[in-house]
Amino acid sequence: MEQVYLTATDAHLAQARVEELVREHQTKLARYVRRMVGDADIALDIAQDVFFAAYRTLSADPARPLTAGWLYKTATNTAISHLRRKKIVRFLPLDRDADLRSLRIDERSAASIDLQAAMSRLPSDQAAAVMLTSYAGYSSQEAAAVLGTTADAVRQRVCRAMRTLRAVMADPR
Amino acid sequence: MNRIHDRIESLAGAIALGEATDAERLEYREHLSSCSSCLQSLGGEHELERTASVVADARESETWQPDLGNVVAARMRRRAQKWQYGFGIAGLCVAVSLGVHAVFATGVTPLEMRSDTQTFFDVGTTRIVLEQRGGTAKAPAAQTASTPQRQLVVMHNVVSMQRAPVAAAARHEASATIAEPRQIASVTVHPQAPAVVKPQTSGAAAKPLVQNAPAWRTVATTTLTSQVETAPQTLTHNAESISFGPLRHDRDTSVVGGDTAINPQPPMIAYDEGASGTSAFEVLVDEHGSPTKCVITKSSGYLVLDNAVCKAAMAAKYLPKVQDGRAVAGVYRDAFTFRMQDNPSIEGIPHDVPGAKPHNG
Repeated sequence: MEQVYLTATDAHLAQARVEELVREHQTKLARYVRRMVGDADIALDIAQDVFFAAYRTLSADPARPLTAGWLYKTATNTAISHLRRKKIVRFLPLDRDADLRSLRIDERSAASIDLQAAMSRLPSDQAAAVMLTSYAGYSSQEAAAVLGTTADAVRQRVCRAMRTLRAVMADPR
Repeated sequence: MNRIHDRIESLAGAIALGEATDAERLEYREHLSSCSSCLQSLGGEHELERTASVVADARESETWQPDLGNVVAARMRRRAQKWQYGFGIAGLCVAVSLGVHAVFATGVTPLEMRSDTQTFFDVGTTRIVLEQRGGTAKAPAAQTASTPQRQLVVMHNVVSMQRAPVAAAARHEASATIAEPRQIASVTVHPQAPAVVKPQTSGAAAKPLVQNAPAWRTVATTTLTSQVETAPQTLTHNAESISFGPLRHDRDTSVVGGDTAINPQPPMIAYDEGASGTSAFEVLVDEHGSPTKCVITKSSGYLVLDNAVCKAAMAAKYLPKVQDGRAVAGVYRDAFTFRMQDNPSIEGIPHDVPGAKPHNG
């Protein structure tokens, strides 16, 4: 078995590649994770862990091509693990105005509130499917590769997520 | 039925994502025309597209611009430093390990095949016969409470010299020497036993010069030194090194302070490795009584034991050889036997008791 030894040049190369990934994907990735977990601070921690995992991967194998899909896959798994580990019980608050005050300014649009309310109700697999496709812009085929399922399953999850979102939008509160 | 609904959900998802083909849209449309429940729960194509657009609107409205560059760079730097520290510590450990192993390898590797039963060896034209007399083992008082698991016994040999005989005859002669060792007055050098007194000046000429006959006293016929493994540096022995026989001139010097002045102290590594064997040596003594050179004439097989013997021999002071009333250079020969044993009572060596009679006295 071929052994890959990390030299100083490899370490610097890995660091440079990760810095490039951070510059290119940090905003979209952090926003994606924030929609998944519903908290900006936690999203920052998870996004940071994702980029650091990329650095460790590149350190072990400098020749490995790391794409945005790898970042989103890692971020999705990390977010789902976080939600399961913390056993977060997500629910819609009774007072939407109070919840509105806790949101950032850019999260206070009607579409954003509806989306986040629907996300809090969705199972993690449906949330990941709709986030990867409608939010991150991946096709159902690409999202299926990230989630490790089929394209039909992704479309079904998106359909069910849209049904939940439509119910939230129809909610008068 | 469920399979049909799964298919319709898949089609609805494709329409919401904008991936549906015309045929898929037509299939969905035809199913909704015949299934009111699907029409109510999923909605038409426009409804799906409008719902999906909410997600896109929410995405477009976001202005959050997190900056993770500095944080991630700091973590990467810390990890790189950890790797450097790790490599440094690993390298240091390897170097120390190699050094320790090198010391052990050069320190205790047997130099040659040794035989514990060998009792004579030839040095040039001289055959040196070693007699190891059974003696008393001095056990520390602490051993009565807790018997030591391992002890190093240092046996000071009785050395006799013979001119090189025929091999078979020499062996016979050597065995005879061992069977009945003779002990001469030269062993009375123990500092605590002044046996010879000066003649009195009262005119009693018939009075012998020597009292307390026999004029020599043996304290411990053989030299045995026992020491607990954990404290070898306090090694002591009441050795008497005896040079006897017709060729006593082979050893023409003596040690100041008695033969007990030579006190080899093997290092701890000898205890750990169970080193044992007999080291015979020669010390060249100049006319001032200072040792100038130590030669191991028979190696014990362990460098640590040989070095301990020579180190002790070189640390002693000697009485120079006197020839024609003048001090001249001479040679001191002696030998030590190191034997590892688990318990001093093993191998028939009794513990020392005060007043015990000498074994061969």
